[in-house]
Amino acid sequence: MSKHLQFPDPAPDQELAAALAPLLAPPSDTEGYWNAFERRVMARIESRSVWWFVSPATLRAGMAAAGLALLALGAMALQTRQMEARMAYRAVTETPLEVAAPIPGIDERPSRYAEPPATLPGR
Amino acid sequence: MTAPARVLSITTHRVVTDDVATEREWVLAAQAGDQAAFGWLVHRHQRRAYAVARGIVLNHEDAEDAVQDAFLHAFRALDRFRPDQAFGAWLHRIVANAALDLTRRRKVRDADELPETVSSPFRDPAESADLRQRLREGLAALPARQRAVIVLHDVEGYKHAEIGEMLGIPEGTARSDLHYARARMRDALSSFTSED
Repeated sequence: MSKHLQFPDPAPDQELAAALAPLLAPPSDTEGYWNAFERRVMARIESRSVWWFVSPATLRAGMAAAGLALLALGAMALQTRQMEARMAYRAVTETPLEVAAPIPGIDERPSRYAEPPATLPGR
Repeated sequence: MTAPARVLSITTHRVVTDDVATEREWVLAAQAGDQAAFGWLVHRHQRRAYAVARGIVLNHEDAEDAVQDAFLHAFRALDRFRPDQAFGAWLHRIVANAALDLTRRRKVRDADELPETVSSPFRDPAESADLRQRLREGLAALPARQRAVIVLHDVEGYKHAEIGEMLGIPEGTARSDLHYARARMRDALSSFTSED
């Protein structure tokens, strides 16, 4: 049998409900209490949700704007990098080469290495 | 979607009438970002939400905390609510789970003393106080889930299938929970009447 047995829902127990009702009310069940409680609930919602609560339409628009901003930033970064590379290339290619003058005492060869002997002694 | 024109006037005058706008319109306005519309929903549902929470957590402060948590959660989850559903049932599900969560996290404290001004079906104040005490003890002796089931069924009038969905339990479990909880509460009531 694939059918599940269906039992009717029993009716709520009115006597028990009446007895329980006073236990389920706040100590001060007045309109003033409920208005104040509502204000507390709403204040808590406002304090905790200001940063994220936006309507779906605003959220979509915001996401689109953020995406465009990200693309623009990416393009700018790429352009800056290319410009820097070009400038570095130009700096290298367009600067004239300078031949450095020999510095006495550093660039001169020591005398003992100046000329190798023509023949080994004793041969 | 723009909020109904009378939303702002309701926050100041608090004249809530069903014929101004259906609950669905308020829900749609709240979903579109109108906090005043959500305020109207809070105003409309807070009493029953409190009763559900109080039945589970047993004391006033925890009930208030659970209801506030639940409304905050509901506000954040509004996008996921389908307006063709009953907002009250959806909210009570969140409230019941917030209250059950609170009972898991905290030790159940003694219930507050109820003032004598609270309405009661019993006339004699001494008798009424004694009965309340027994019922309170009876409720406190029940597991939190059974308290949730008896409050949702007998006080709020939900059916077992709805309760099962609200609490994330099989319908049969809701039935057996109600049966057990009723028997315990009936014991509390009958011992009270048999002592008279």
